[in-house]
Amino acid sequence: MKRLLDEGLEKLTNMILDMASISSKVVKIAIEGYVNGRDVSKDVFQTSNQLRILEDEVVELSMELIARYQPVASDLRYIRSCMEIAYGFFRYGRYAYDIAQVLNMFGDLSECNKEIIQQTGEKVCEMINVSVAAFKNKDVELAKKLKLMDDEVDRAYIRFVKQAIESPSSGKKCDMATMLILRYLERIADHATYMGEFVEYIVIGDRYRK
Amino acid sequence: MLDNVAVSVKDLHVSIDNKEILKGINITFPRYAVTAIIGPSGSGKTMLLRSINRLIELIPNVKVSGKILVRIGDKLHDAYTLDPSYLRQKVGYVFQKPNPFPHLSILKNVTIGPMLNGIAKGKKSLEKLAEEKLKEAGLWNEVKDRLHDAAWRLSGGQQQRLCIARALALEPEIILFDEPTTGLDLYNTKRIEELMVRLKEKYTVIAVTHSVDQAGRIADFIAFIYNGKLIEFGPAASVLKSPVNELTELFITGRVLDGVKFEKTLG
Repeated sequence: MKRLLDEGLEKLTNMILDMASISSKVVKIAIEGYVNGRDVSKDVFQTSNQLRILEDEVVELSMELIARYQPVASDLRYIRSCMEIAYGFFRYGRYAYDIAQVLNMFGDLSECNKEIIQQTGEKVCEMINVSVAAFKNKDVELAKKLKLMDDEVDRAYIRFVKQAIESPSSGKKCDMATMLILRYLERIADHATYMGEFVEYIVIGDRYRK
Repeated sequence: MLDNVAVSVKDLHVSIDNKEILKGINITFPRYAVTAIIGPSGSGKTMLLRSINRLIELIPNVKVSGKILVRIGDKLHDAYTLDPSYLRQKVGYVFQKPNPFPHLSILKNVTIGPMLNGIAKGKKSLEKLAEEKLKEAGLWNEVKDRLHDAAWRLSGGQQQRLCIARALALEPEIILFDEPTTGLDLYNTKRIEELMVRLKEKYTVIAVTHSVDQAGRIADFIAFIYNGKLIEFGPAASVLKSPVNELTELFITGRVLDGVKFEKTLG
Protein backbone atom coordinates (compact mmCIF):
# COMPACT_ATOMS: atom_id res chain seq x y z
CA MET A 1 0.00 0.00 0.00
CA LYS A 2 1.35 3.38 -0.99
CA ARG A 3 1.89 5.71 1.93
CA LEU A 4 0.82 9.36 1.82
CA LEU A 5 4.47 10.27 2.21
CA ASP A 6 5.38 8.26 -0.89
CA GLU A 7 3.48 10.68 -3.12
CA GLY A 8 5.47 13.57 -1.69
CA LEU A 9 8.73 11.68 -2.11
CA GLU A 10 7.90 10.94 -5.74
CA LYS A 11 7.24 14.61 -6.36
CA LEU A 12 10.53 15.48 -4.69
CA THR A 13 12.37 12.93 -6.84
CA ASN A 14 10.86 14.38 -10.01
CA MET A 15 11.90 17.87 -9.01
CA ILE A 16 15.45 16.68 -8.38
CA LEU A 17 15.56 14.92 -11.75
CA ASP A 18 14.30 18.08 -13.46
CA MET A 19 17.06 20.04 -11.77
CA ALA A 20 19.56 17.36 -12.79
CA SER A 21 18.60 17.68 -16.43
CA ILE A 22 18.64 21.49 -16.44
CA SER A 23 21.90 21.82 -14.53
CA SER A 24 23.84 19.29 -16.61
CA LYS A 25 22.72 21.12 -19.77
CA VAL A 26 23.69 24.53 -18.46
CA VAL A 27 27.18 23.41 -17.47
CA LYS A 28 27.66 21.93 -20.93
CA ILE A 29 26.42 25.12 -22.60
CA ALA A 30 28.79 27.25 -20.50
CA ILE A 31 31.82 25.09 -21.34
CA GLU A 32 30.98 24.92 -25.04
CA GLY A 33 30.36 28.69 -25.08
CA TYR A 34 33.83 29.31 -23.71
CA VAL A 35 35.53 26.80 -26.01
CA ASN A 36 33.78 28.24 -29.08
CA GLY A 37 34.23 31.83 -27.99
CA ARG A 38 30.50 32.44 -27.84
CA ASP A 39 28.86 34.67 -25.22
CA VAL A 40 26.19 32.53 -23.57
CA SER A 41 26.07 34.42 -20.29
CA LYS A 42 22.54 35.74 -20.75
CA ASP A 43 21.00 32.30 -21.26
CA VAL A 44 23.15 30.75 -18.57
CA PHE A 45 22.16 33.49 -16.15
CA GLN A 46 18.46 32.78 -16.72
CA THR A 47 18.91 29.06 -16.26
CA SER A 48 21.00 29.63 -13.18
CA ASN A 49 18.17 31.70 -11.70
CA GLN A 50 15.71 28.99 -12.61
CA LEU A 51 17.84 26.50 -10.67
CA ARG A 52 17.84 28.83 -7.67
CA ILE A 53 14.04 28.93 -7.74
CA LEU A 54 13.82 25.16 -8.12
CA GLU A 55 16.22 24.65 -5.22
CA ASP A 56 13.97 26.82 -3.09
CA GLU A 57 10.95 24.75 -4.15
CA VAL A 58 12.74 21.52 -3.24
CA VAL A 59 13.54 22.90 0.21
CA GLU A 60 9.95 24.08 0.68
CA LEU A 61 8.51 20.71 -0.31
CA SER A 62 11.02 18.95 1.93
CA MET A 63 10.01 21.11 4.88
CA GLU A 64 6.36 20.42 4.15
CA LEU A 65 6.93 16.67 4.06
CA ILE A 66 8.81 16.80 7.35
CA ALA A 67 6.08 18.90 8.96
CA ARG A 68 3.24 16.75 7.65
CA TYR A 69 4.59 13.24 8.01
CA GLN A 70 7.47 13.37 10.51
CA PRO A 71 9.55 11.01 8.37
CA VAL A 72 12.28 8.89 9.92
CA ALA A 73 15.04 6.51 8.83
CA SER A 74 15.56 6.19 5.06
CA ASP A 75 12.66 8.60 4.38
CA LEU A 76 14.24 11.30 6.49
CA ARG A 77 17.69 10.66 5.02
CA TYR A 78 16.22 10.84 1.53
CA ILE A 79 14.57 14.19 2.18
CA ARG A 80 17.70 15.66 3.75
CA SER A 81 19.76 14.39 0.83
CA CYS A 82 17.36 15.88 -1.71
CA MET A 83 17.84 19.27 -0.09
CA GLU A 84 21.63 18.91 -0.26
CA ILE A 85 21.55 17.61 -3.81
CA ALA A 86 19.25 20.43 -4.92
CA TYR A 87 21.76 22.85 -3.45
CA GLY A 88 24.46 21.11 -5.48
CA PHE A 89 22.46 21.62 -8.68
CA PHE A 90 21.93 25.26 -7.80
CA ARG A 91 25.71 25.60 -7.38
CA TYR A 92 26.23 23.97 -10.80
CA GLY A 93 24.13 26.80 -12.24
CA ARG A 94 26.15 29.44 -10.43
CA TYR A 95 29.48 27.99 -11.56
CA ALA A 96 28.17 27.67 -15.12
CA TYR A 97 27.35 31.38 -14.98
CA ASP A 98 30.83 32.12 -13.61
CA ILE A 99 32.33 30.18 -16.51
CA ALA A 100 30.16 32.08 -19.00
CA GLN A 101 31.25 35.36 -17.42
CA VAL A 102 34.94 34.70 -18.10
CA LEU A 103 34.61 35.70 -21.74
CA ASN A 104 32.89 38.93 -20.69
CA MET A 105 35.61 39.70 -18.20
CA PHE A 106 38.62 38.84 -20.37
CA GLY A 107 37.34 39.69 -23.84
CA ASP A 108 38.69 37.82 -26.83
CA LEU A 109 40.36 34.55 -25.83
CA SER A 110 40.46 32.93 -29.26
CA GLU A 111 44.25 32.65 -29.09
CA CYS A 112 44.18 30.54 -25.93
CA ASN A 113 44.72 26.81 -25.87
CA LYS A 114 41.40 25.44 -24.66
CA GLU A 115 42.25 21.77 -24.76
CA ILE A 116 42.52 21.33 -20.99
CA ILE A 117 39.17 23.06 -20.47
CA GLN A 118 37.59 20.82 -23.07
CA GLN A 119 39.02 17.66 -21.51
CA THR A 120 38.25 18.62 -17.90
CA GLY A 121 34.84 19.90 -18.94
CA GLU A 122 34.03 16.54 -20.50
CA LYS A 123 35.16 14.77 -17.35
CA VAL A 124 33.01 17.07 -15.20
CA CYS A 125 29.96 16.56 -17.43
CA GLU A 126 30.52 12.83 -17.11
CA MET A 127 30.66 13.21 -13.33
CA ILE A 128 27.35 15.06 -13.37
CA ASN A 129 25.78 12.24 -15.38
CA VAL A 130 27.25 9.62 -13.06
CA SER A 131 26.00 11.44 -9.96
CA VAL A 132 22.50 11.68 -11.42
CA ALA A 133 22.50 8.01 -12.43
CA ALA A 134 23.75 7.00 -8.98
CA PHE A 135 20.96 9.03 -7.38
CA LYS A 136 18.30 7.71 -9.74
CA ASN A 137 19.25 4.07 -9.17
CA LYS A 138 20.45 4.46 -5.58
CA ASP A 139 23.69 2.87 -6.78
CA VAL A 140 26.34 3.13 -4.08
CA GLU A 141 29.09 1.52 -6.15
CA LEU A 142 28.58 4.00 -8.96
CA ALA A 143 28.50 6.84 -6.46
CA LYS A 144 31.87 5.78 -5.09
CA LYS A 145 33.44 6.15 -8.54
CA LEU A 146 32.82 9.88 -8.30
CA LYS A 147 35.56 10.23 -5.71
CA LEU A 148 38.13 8.80 -8.12
CA MET A 149 36.89 10.99 -10.95
CA ASP A 150 37.06 14.01 -8.65
CA ASP A 151 40.72 13.20 -7.92
CA GLU A 152 41.44 13.35 -11.66
CA VAL A 153 39.80 16.77 -11.93
CA ASP A 154 41.70 18.01 -8.88
CA ARG A 155 44.97 16.79 -10.36
CA ALA A 156 44.29 18.53 -13.68
CA TYR A 157 43.59 21.79 -11.88
CA ILE A 158 46.64 21.61 -9.61
CA ARG A 159 48.89 20.55 -12.49
CA PHE A 160 47.80 23.57 -14.49
CA VAL A 161 48.26 25.98 -11.58
CA LYS A 162 51.79 24.67 -10.98
CA GLN A 163 52.60 24.85 -14.65
CA ALA A 164 51.27 28.41 -14.88
CA ILE A 165 53.48 29.43 -11.97
CA GLU A 166 56.62 27.60 -13.08
CA SER A 167 56.45 28.17 -16.82
CA PRO A 168 53.70 30.61 -17.75
CA SER A 169 52.45 30.59 -21.32
CA SER A 170 52.98 33.65 -23.49
CA GLY A 171 49.52 34.98 -22.71
CA LYS A 172 48.99 35.82 -19.05
CA LYS A 173 45.33 36.43 -19.84
CA CYS A 174 44.95 32.88 -21.13
CA ASP A 175 46.55 31.40 -18.03
CA MET A 176 44.28 33.40 -15.75
CA ALA A 177 41.13 32.57 -17.69
CA THR A 178 42.00 28.87 -17.86
CA MET A 179 42.84 28.79 -14.16
CA LEU A 180 39.54 30.42 -13.24
CA ILE A 181 37.50 28.06 -15.34
CA LEU A 182 39.40 25.03 -14.08
CA ARG A 183 38.68 26.21 -10.56
CA TYR A 184 34.94 26.42 -11.32
CA LEU A 185 35.01 22.98 -12.91
CA GLU A 186 36.87 21.62 -9.91
CA ARG A 187 34.12 23.01 -7.64
CA ILE A 188 31.40 21.44 -9.79
CA ALA A 189 33.25 18.13 -9.51
CA ASP A 190 33.30 18.54 -5.73
CA HIS A 191 29.54 18.98 -5.66
CA ALA A 192 29.06 15.93 -7.87
CA THR A 193 31.17 14.01 -5.36
CA TYR A 194 29.05 15.25 -2.45
CA MET A 195 26.00 14.01 -4.34
CA GLY A 196 27.61 10.60 -4.51
CA GLU A 197 28.16 10.72 -0.76
CA PHE A 198 24.50 11.53 -0.23
CA VAL A 199 23.49 8.55 -2.36
CA GLU A 200 25.45 6.39 0.06
CA TYR A 201 23.87 8.22 3.00
CA ILE A 202 20.41 7.51 1.62
CA VAL A 203 21.13 3.83 1.11
CA ILE A 204 23.17 2.87 4.16
CA GLY A 205 22.83 5.80 6.52
CA ASP A 206 26.46 6.80 6.46
CA ARG A 207 28.48 9.03 4.22
CA TYR A 208 31.45 8.04 2.14
CA ARG A 209 33.43 11.13 3.16
CA LYS A 210 36.51 10.17 5.14
CA MET B 1 29.01 1.28 34.52
CA LEU B 2 26.38 -0.57 36.55
CA ASP B 3 25.43 2.72 38.22
CA ASN B 4 23.82 3.68 34.94
CA VAL B 5 21.57 0.64 34.90
CA ALA B 6 17.99 1.06 36.10
CA VAL B 7 16.59 -2.24 34.90
CA SER B 8 18.37 -5.22 33.45
CA VAL B 9 16.30 -7.88 31.73
CA LYS B 10 18.00 -11.17 30.99
CA ASP B 11 16.63 -13.93 28.80
CA LEU B 12 13.02 -13.10 29.67
CA HIS B 13 10.45 -15.59 28.46
CA VAL B 14 6.75 -15.09 29.11
CA SER B 15 3.98 -17.50 28.14
CA ILE B 16 0.27 -17.20 28.66
CA ASP B 17 -1.80 -20.35 28.27
CA ASN B 18 1.33 -22.02 26.90
CA LYS B 19 1.61 -19.44 24.13
CA GLU B 20 4.99 -17.77 24.14
CA ILE B 21 4.61 -13.99 24.20
CA LEU B 22 8.15 -12.90 25.00
CA LYS B 23 10.92 -15.03 23.50
CA GLY B 24 14.15 -14.39 25.35
CA ILE B 25 14.38 -10.64 25.78
CA ASN B 26 17.70 -9.16 26.85
CA ILE B 27 17.74 -5.44 27.45
CA THR B 28 19.25 -2.91 29.81
CA PHE B 29 17.31 0.25 30.57
CA PRO B 30 19.56 3.19 31.41
CA ARG B 31 18.98 5.15 34.60
CA TYR B 32 17.64 8.70 34.55
CA ALA B 33 16.68 8.46 30.92
CA VAL B 34 13.50 7.98 28.93
CA THR B 35 13.40 4.72 27.02
CA ALA B 36 10.53 4.23 24.60
CA ILE B 37 9.45 0.72 23.71
CA ILE B 38 7.91 0.65 20.26
CA GLY B 39 6.49 -2.11 18.13
CA PRO B 40 3.29 -3.19 16.40
CA SER B 41 0.23 -4.29 18.36
CA GLY B 42 0.66 -7.70 19.88
CA SER B 43 4.46 -7.63 19.72
CA GLY B 44 4.85 -7.92 23.50
CA LYS B 45 5.61 -4.31 24.51
CA THR B 46 3.11 -4.17 27.33
CA MET B 47 4.04 -7.67 28.53
CA LEU B 48 7.65 -6.56 28.82
CA LEU B 49 6.59 -3.49 30.78
CA ARG B 50 4.34 -5.50 33.07
CA SER B 51 7.07 -8.05 33.67
CA ILE B 52 9.27 -5.37 35.20
CA ASN B 53 6.97 -4.64 38.14
CA ARG B 54 5.37 -8.09 38.07
CA LEU B 55 1.91 -6.84 37.19
CA ILE B 56 2.10 -9.69 34.73
CA GLU B 57 1.56 -12.12 37.60
CA LEU B 58 -2.03 -10.93 37.83
CA ILE B 59 -2.74 -12.56 34.46
CA PRO B 60 -4.04 -16.16 34.84
CA ASN B 61 -1.91 -19.02 33.47
CA VAL B 62 1.17 -16.91 33.00
CA LYS B 63 4.68 -18.38 33.11
CA VAL B 64 7.71 -16.16 33.49
CA SER B 65 11.34 -17.22 33.30
CA GLY B 66 14.60 -15.30 33.08
CA LYS B 67 15.85 -12.57 35.31
CA ILE B 68 14.90 -8.95 35.90
CA LEU B 69 17.11 -6.77 38.04
CA VAL B 70 15.75 -3.41 39.17
CA ARG B 71 17.67 -0.62 40.82
CA ILE B 72 16.35 0.43 44.17
CA GLY B 73 18.71 2.84 45.85
CA ASP B 74 22.31 1.84 45.26
CA LYS B 75 21.65 -1.80 44.48
CA LEU B 76 20.19 -3.91 41.75
CA HIS B 77 17.64 -6.35 43.13
CA ASP B 78 16.10 -9.42 41.61
CA ALA B 79 12.55 -8.21 40.98
CA TYR B 80 11.14 -11.68 41.43
CA THR B 81 12.49 -12.11 44.96
CA LEU B 82 11.16 -8.78 46.23
CA ASP B 83 7.80 -8.34 47.88
CA PRO B 84 5.51 -7.46 44.92
CA SER B 85 3.84 -4.57 46.78
CA TYR B 86 7.20 -3.04 47.62
CA LEU B 87 8.39 -3.59 44.04
CA ARG B 88 5.30 -1.86 42.63
CA GLN B 89 5.80 1.03 45.02
CA LYS B 90 9.33 1.51 43.74
CA VAL B 91 8.45 0.77 40.14
CA GLY B 92 5.35 2.83 39.45
CA TYR B 93 2.96 2.11 36.59
CA VAL B 94 0.80 4.52 34.66
CA PHE B 95 -1.89 2.83 32.62
CA GLN B 96 -3.12 3.62 29.15
CA LYS B 97 -6.50 4.70 30.47
CA PRO B 98 -6.43 7.08 33.43
CA ASN B 99 -7.64 5.16 36.46
CA PRO B 100 -7.89 7.48 39.45
CA PHE B 101 -10.09 6.41 42.34
CA PRO B 102 -13.08 8.26 40.89
CA HIS B 103 -15.01 9.01 44.05
CA LEU B 104 -12.02 9.92 46.17
CA SER B 105 -10.98 13.55 46.21
CA ILE B 106 -8.07 14.77 44.12
CA LEU B 107 -6.07 15.18 47.33
CA LYS B 108 -6.95 11.76 48.64
CA ASN B 109 -5.98 10.12 45.34
CA VAL B 110 -2.44 11.32 45.92
CA THR B 111 -2.22 10.81 49.67
CA ILE B 112 -3.84 7.41 50.03
CA GLY B 113 -0.81 5.47 48.79
CA PRO B 114 1.76 7.15 51.03
CA MET B 115 -0.66 6.98 53.95
CA LEU B 116 -1.16 3.23 53.57
CA ASN B 117 2.54 2.61 52.97
CA GLY B 118 3.61 4.80 55.88
CA ILE B 119 5.65 7.11 53.64
CA ALA B 120 4.09 10.16 55.27
CA LYS B 121 1.98 10.54 58.36
CA GLY B 122 -0.27 13.31 59.59
CA LYS B 123 -2.54 15.58 57.66
CA LYS B 124 -0.01 18.36 57.16
CA SER B 125 2.82 16.23 55.90
CA LEU B 126 0.47 14.31 53.61
CA GLU B 127 -0.90 17.55 52.20
CA LYS B 128 2.61 18.89 51.72
CA LEU B 129 3.58 15.70 49.90
CA ALA B 130 0.45 15.94 47.71
CA GLU B 131 1.26 19.53 46.78
CA GLU B 132 4.81 18.56 45.89
CA LYS B 133 3.74 15.61 43.74
CA LEU B 134 0.91 17.48 42.04
CA LYS B 135 3.45 20.16 41.16
CA GLU B 136 5.84 17.53 39.80
CA ALA B 137 3.00 16.16 37.71
CA GLY B 138 2.21 19.65 36.39
CA LEU B 139 -1.30 19.61 37.81
CA TRP B 140 -1.07 21.77 40.92
CA ASN B 141 -2.03 25.09 39.34
CA GLU B 142 -5.13 23.54 37.82
CA VAL B 143 -6.39 21.84 40.98
CA LYS B 144 -5.03 23.77 43.96
CA ASP B 145 -8.39 25.46 44.56
CA ARG B 146 -10.42 22.27 44.21
CA LEU B 147 -8.40 19.62 45.97
CA HIS B 148 -11.51 18.21 47.62
CA ASP B 149 -13.41 17.73 44.37
CA ALA B 150 -13.94 14.13 43.30
CA ALA B 151 -11.32 12.94 40.83
CA TRP B 152 -13.90 12.02 38.21
CA ARG B 153 -14.62 15.73 37.74
CA LEU B 154 -11.22 16.19 36.13
CA SER B 155 -10.69 15.99 32.37
CA GLY B 156 -9.01 12.90 30.89
CA GLY B 157 -5.63 14.61 30.63
CA GLN B 158 -5.88 15.92 34.17
CA GLN B 159 -6.89 12.49 35.44
CA GLN B 160 -3.81 11.01 33.78
CA ARG B 161 -1.58 13.60 35.43
CA LEU B 162 -3.31 12.83 38.73
CA CYS B 163 -2.43 9.17 38.24
CA ILE B 164 1.17 10.20 37.63
CA ALA B 165 1.13 12.29 40.82
CA ARG B 166 -0.29 9.28 42.64
CA ALA B 167 2.56 7.09 41.38
CA LEU B 168 5.14 9.76 42.30
CA ALA B 169 3.75 10.02 45.82
CA LEU B 170 4.98 6.49 46.49
CA GLU B 171 8.55 7.70 45.89
CA PRO B 172 9.32 5.34 43.05
CA GLU B 173 12.68 5.04 41.33
CA ILE B 174 11.32 3.88 38.02
CA ILE B 175 8.05 4.81 36.33
CA LEU B 176 6.53 2.64 33.66
CA PHE B 177 4.12 4.29 31.24
CA ASP B 178 1.84 2.17 29.10
CA GLU B 179 0.72 4.33 26.17
CA PRO B 180 -0.22 7.11 28.58
CA THR B 181 -1.54 9.56 26.00
CA THR B 182 -3.99 7.29 24.21
CA GLY B 183 -7.24 9.15 23.68
CA LEU B 184 -5.90 12.47 24.93
CA ASP B 185 -6.11 15.67 22.91
CA LEU B 186 -3.01 17.36 21.54
CA TYR B 187 -2.68 19.77 24.47
CA ASN B 188 -2.84 17.04 27.10
CA THR B 189 -0.62 14.75 25.05
CA LYS B 190 2.05 17.46 24.93
CA ARG B 191 1.74 18.07 28.69
CA ILE B 192 2.21 14.37 29.47
CA GLU B 193 5.13 14.13 27.04
CA GLU B 194 6.81 17.17 28.62
CA LEU B 195 6.19 15.63 32.00
CA MET B 196 7.78 12.30 31.05
CA VAL B 197 10.88 14.12 29.82
CA ARG B 198 11.08 16.29 32.96
CA LEU B 199 10.66 13.28 35.23
CA LYS B 200 13.90 11.70 34.04
CA GLU B 201 15.81 14.20 36.17
CA LYS B 202 14.69 12.25 39.26
CA TYR B 203 13.34 8.97 37.93
CA THR B 204 13.94 6.42 35.23
CA VAL B 205 11.15 6.47 32.67
CA ILE B 206 10.22 3.51 30.49
CA ALA B 207 7.31 4.14 28.18
CA VAL B 208 5.45 1.92 25.78
CA THR B 209 4.14 3.92 22.88
CA HIS B 210 2.47 3.00 19.62
CA SER B 211 3.61 6.27 18.14
CA VAL B 212 7.05 6.51 16.58
CA ASP B 213 6.62 10.29 16.49
CA GLN B 214 6.04 10.33 20.22
CA ALA B 215 9.07 8.12 20.80
CA GLY B 216 11.07 10.65 18.81
CA ARG B 217 9.83 13.52 20.95
CA ILE B 218 10.38 11.99 24.36
CA ALA B 219 12.95 9.21 24.22
CA ASP B 220 16.67 9.14 24.84
CA PHE B 221 16.68 5.48 23.84
CA ILE B 222 14.37 3.39 21.71
CA ALA B 223 13.74 -0.34 21.93
CA PHE B 224 11.93 -1.98 19.04
CA ILE B 225 10.10 -5.17 19.90
CA TYR B 226 8.59 -7.46 17.33
CA ASN B 227 7.03 -10.86 17.72
CA GLY B 228 8.24 -11.19 21.31
CA LYS B 229 11.84 -10.37 20.45
CA LEU B 230 13.98 -7.31 20.90
CA ILE B 231 14.92 -6.36 17.37
CA GLU B 232 16.86 -3.18 18.01
CA PHE B 233 17.89 -0.96 20.90
CA GLY B 234 19.89 2.24 20.73
CA PRO B 235 19.99 6.01 21.13
CA ALA B 236 16.74 7.46 19.82
CA ALA B 237 18.36 9.72 17.24
CA SER B 238 20.35 6.93 15.67
CA VAL B 239 17.45 4.46 15.65
CA LEU B 240 15.23 7.06 14.00
CA LYS B 241 17.80 8.31 11.48
CA SER B 242 19.63 5.13 10.61
CA PRO B 243 18.15 1.97 12.11
CA VAL B 244 20.44 -1.00 11.81
CA ASN B 245 17.77 -3.65 11.37
CA GLU B 246 15.59 -3.77 8.29
CA LEU B 247 12.53 -4.66 10.36
CA THR B 248 13.00 -1.50 12.40
CA GLU B 249 13.28 0.49 9.18
CA LEU B 250 10.07 -1.05 7.85
CA PHE B 251 8.16 -0.46 11.05
CA ILE B 252 9.19 3.11 11.82
CA THR B 253 8.66 4.28 8.27
CA GLY B 254 5.12 2.92 8.39
CA ARG B 255 5.62 0.45 5.59
CA VAL B 256 3.84 -2.17 7.65
CA LEU B 257 0.37 -0.80 7.82
CA ASP B 258 -1.24 -3.83 6.24
CA GLY B 259 1.29 -6.16 7.84
CA VAL B 260 1.86 -8.03 4.59
CA LYS B 261 5.30 -6.82 3.65
CA PHE B 262 6.44 -6.95 7.25
CA GLU B 263 5.44 -10.57 7.64
CA LYS B 264 7.08 -11.52 4.36
CA THR B 265 10.33 -9.89 5.39
CA LEU B 266 10.43 -12.06 8.47
CA GLY B 267 10.68 -15.04 6.19
